[in-house]
Amino acid sequence: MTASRDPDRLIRAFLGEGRTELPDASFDAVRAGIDRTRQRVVIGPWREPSMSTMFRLAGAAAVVAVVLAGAAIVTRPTVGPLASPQPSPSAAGEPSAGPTRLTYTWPGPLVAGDYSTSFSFDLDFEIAFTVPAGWESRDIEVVKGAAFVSFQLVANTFTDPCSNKETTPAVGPTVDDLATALVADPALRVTAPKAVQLAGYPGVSLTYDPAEGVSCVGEDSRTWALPADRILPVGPLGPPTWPLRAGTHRVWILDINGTRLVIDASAGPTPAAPLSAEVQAVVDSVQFGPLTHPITIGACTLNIDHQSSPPGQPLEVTLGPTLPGGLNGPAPNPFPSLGPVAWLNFRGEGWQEGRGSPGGPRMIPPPGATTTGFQTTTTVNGYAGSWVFDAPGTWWVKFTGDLSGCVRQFPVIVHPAP
Amino acid sequence: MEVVRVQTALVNRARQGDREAFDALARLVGDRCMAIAVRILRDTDLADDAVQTALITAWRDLRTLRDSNRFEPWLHRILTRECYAEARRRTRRSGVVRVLVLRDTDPGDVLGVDVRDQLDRAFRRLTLEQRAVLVFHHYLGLSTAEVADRLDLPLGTVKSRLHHAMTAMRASLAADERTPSLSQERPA
Repeated sequence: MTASRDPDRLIRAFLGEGRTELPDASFDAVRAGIDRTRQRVVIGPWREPSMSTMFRLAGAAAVVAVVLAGAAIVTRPTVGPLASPQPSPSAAGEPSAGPTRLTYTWPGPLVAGDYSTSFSFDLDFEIAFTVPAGWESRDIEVVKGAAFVSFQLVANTFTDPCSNKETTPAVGPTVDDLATALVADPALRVTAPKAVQLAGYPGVSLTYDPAEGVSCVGEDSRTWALPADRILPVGPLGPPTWPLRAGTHRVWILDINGTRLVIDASAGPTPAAPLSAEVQAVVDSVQFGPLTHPITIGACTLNIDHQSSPPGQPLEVTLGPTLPGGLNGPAPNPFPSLGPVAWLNFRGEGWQEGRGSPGGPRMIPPPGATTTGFQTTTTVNGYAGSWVFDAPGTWWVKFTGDLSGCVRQFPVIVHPAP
Repeated sequence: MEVVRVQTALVNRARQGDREAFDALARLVGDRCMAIAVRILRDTDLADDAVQTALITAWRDLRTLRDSNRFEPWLHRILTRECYAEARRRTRRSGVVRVLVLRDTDPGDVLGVDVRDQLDRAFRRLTLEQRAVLVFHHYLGLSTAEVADRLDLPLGTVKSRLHHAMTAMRASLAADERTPSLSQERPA
């Protein structure tokens, strides 16, 4: 060992390593972002988001008071079968002649309508629901402002929302096991579980909110862990967890043919009646049906604007004016300085983004090409991006998913500009 | 001091809605933000996204900043939250694992490959909150009180997180000394 063994020095040296520059393209993206973003108007004295502990406690008490005042709206009991459009207790596994469902993608705005998805879970059924206007998708939840309706599988709870220590022994697999664990969780104030049915499936319903004095509330906290073995592969950032958010949550813990599904919904810390009604409407619309959009880890699905690219069939593009965006809407030419190019938007499903990192998408250029890159669009969108071609010839696009095992390579024939 | 004055002037102009001023401000502070985010997240792509989002959020909420002189601490608090959010969004969304680029060993390198690997693994086992405290204290050189102020945390929480983080990191090095690494076990 040639290096010094002073641990603190080594740790500081370790922390000193790594990138220290934001790429120019990111500055440009920020500029584009602020051009699209209006500043918030502040009425009254300016206030930094920082709060002293005393103010924080006072604020928390005020929030709790408001939540309690609004709880009657948020936690309206829905005992018994719900008046869903197509109640179908035995729907899972059976085809249903329901309405045409929209494809659920995330993250992004959702048009009002009916969706059906298994999210990123390994499920043998799909969850269908209807969202009103103005809602957005965020992976396993649909949100509108601070309101959300989330769909979850729960593996275990935590000993403390500030901690990453899971409860031992782990919570059992049944509906009652989880309900009992939540009731016993000192970080939560939980109402007594009530037997309910949702979309014809049995379970229990309860409400919870953060117990008084709990310091970790918000996106940095933890209420429960999701099962790493039933969600898309878990990376170095740890197993997926669900935070302890402020506000009163209505929870349904359901048994869907042996799978324990949890719906956690809230109208936010300061619920307004119309929004509470929308949250309830989303939950009321939930149905369960057969799997029609399975997410298969290890498979690739690739959609390219205006054209499809079945395996073995080359995609043809022509240099010159950029192709208009399709799936992701119009986007600026990411390489304006390169002159005539062709570029394509793409969206993948069932594989991970690579964003140019090793193991991610690669373009293999023909001789004479000057671009060897892959460019994502500037917005934060995990599954969208664009490829740029700047020379005639046969290019190859290769996508390798780091964990999904997805490897796909296909030719792109690039014609010279007319 | 000149830099601080320039920064404050840009903040004041940006608060009046001057996008050019904020653009200049972002270019002034962006690299430092990137350095912080990369160290918390250990992933340049995630860090890039977190910095972009933090800067746009800062632009949006700039008028809530009371003291123009405290722009950077305020921004760092936003950035840290964005780092947490970005990490958790990505974890839930896809669990991206990235392959680290291996670099050649530099004879002047303070860290050997084995030590770097041990520290990297230990660091990745820390919670994001522990990582943030470690980065602000040991990378930016802030005192624990300054870290508490910057991250809007009680001082005791900062000290506790720092203690646990450093204990874990030191333990990884101690374990490295006790147990020969795989590369050392291989026959020559």
